[in-house]
Amino acid sequence: MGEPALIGAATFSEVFDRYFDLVHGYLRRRVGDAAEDLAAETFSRALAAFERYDAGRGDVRAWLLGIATNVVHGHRRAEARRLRAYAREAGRQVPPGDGVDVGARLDAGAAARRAATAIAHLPSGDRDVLLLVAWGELSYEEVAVALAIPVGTVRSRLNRARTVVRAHLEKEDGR
Amino acid sequence: MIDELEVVRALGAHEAAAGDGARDRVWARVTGPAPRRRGRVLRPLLAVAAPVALAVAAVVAVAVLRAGADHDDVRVYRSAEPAPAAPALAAPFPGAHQFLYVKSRQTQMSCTAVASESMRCHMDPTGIRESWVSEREQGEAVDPRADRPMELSPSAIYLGNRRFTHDEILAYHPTPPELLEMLQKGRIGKQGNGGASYPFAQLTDALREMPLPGPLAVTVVQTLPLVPGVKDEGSVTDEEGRPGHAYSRVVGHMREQVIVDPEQGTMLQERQFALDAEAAPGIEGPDLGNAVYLQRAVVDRVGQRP
Repeated sequence: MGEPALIGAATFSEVFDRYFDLVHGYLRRRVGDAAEDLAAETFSRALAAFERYDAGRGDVRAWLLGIATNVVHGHRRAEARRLRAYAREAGRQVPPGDGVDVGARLDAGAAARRAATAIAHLPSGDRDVLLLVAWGELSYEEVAVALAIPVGTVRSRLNRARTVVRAHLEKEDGR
Repeated sequence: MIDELEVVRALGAHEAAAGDGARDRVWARVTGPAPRRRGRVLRPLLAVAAPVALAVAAVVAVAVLRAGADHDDVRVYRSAEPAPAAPALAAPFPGAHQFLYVKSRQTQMSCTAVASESMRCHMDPTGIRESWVSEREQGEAVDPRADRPMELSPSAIYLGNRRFTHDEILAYHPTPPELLEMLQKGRIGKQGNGGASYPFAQLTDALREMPLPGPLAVTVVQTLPLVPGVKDEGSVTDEEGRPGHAYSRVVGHMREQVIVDPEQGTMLQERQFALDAEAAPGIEGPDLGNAVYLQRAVVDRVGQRP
């Protein structure tokens, strides 16, 4: 966060250079191995619209993540597979660092599994907002730009999504 | 106390880095196969060659859209492979406020009543039709038969008589038999004159200019041969030389044929043929209609072309 908007006199190449990792990383977390294809689709759409992009609409980062989010919409199955994988792999991914006992690792694994399950069951609009905040590191205002929705809607969707995730985290692990 | 946002932030954090070469492969796919040159070196080139670059991007974008649709459930188009030179026709699915752009070349029949119960028909000249269809926004169509662009109301997504919201259609993953059953059970009264092959019309309606998620579009195509009365005409090429698969049905005095790309879930061409002179008085020859679908893409506004 905090980098100045890059459109203005910037070339598309410079925009690509600066934001590729961000966009690819976001897509990688949302759709796994399909990220490279979807990153290409995202930047292709961005290039097609680049000359007409209005910098006054906000940070180019939000613009690109908004395009990436729309691209993900056509790949819900890939996203569902990714979330199932998170749920499956939870616990194994917690690094066995110094000072982290086995119990804490198991707790973290269970929390990750429940969170992934909760995200998978969110309405897509709520999920988009939650993941643009959590994984895209966008502010509420930037999410509003990315998804072309009012800031109030961002707040209500995020609140709803967090409530659902929290409810999953607090319930007993029935597995 | 657990912070749910922190738990979500931690999900997948270990795998956020791009793999080796991903940046260059994506760049090549976005801008074409030329060696990558970035930053200041590219700036003057881009300024001079922006229209060319955008034209290249449009071609590549279509290829990439095809690749994107592939990735989910159809065919994997590896990034190491060159983008196909021929125009591709993926089934891109726009966001609710975006537009599905469809370009087609059409020859259609027009009929006028010349006396009571008498009709004369003629074939309109072939023309290019372009449409911008959105679920939530006002769309537009430029049709060779109209002297000005036609406004299109926001287009709800229907399969047969069932209306879907944007999220519902994204979450709808029926098998072909389930889709056919839904269409048949949803028919009202004698809709389609009660003909058993009527789902053929409903399915081809969905493939024409309506936004459909790629995997669902593939299912729609796979449902065509299950419809009673539909003939599988096997592998063919369309007017553009693109390989596809043809299905047809007979309705009254006419045969309707569609050529589809079964892997992409897209309609490539549709034609109507007269079976006898009763089909269209005044028309010489069997051809009653022909539409070749040339391009599909997601765009952000009416009038924008990929």
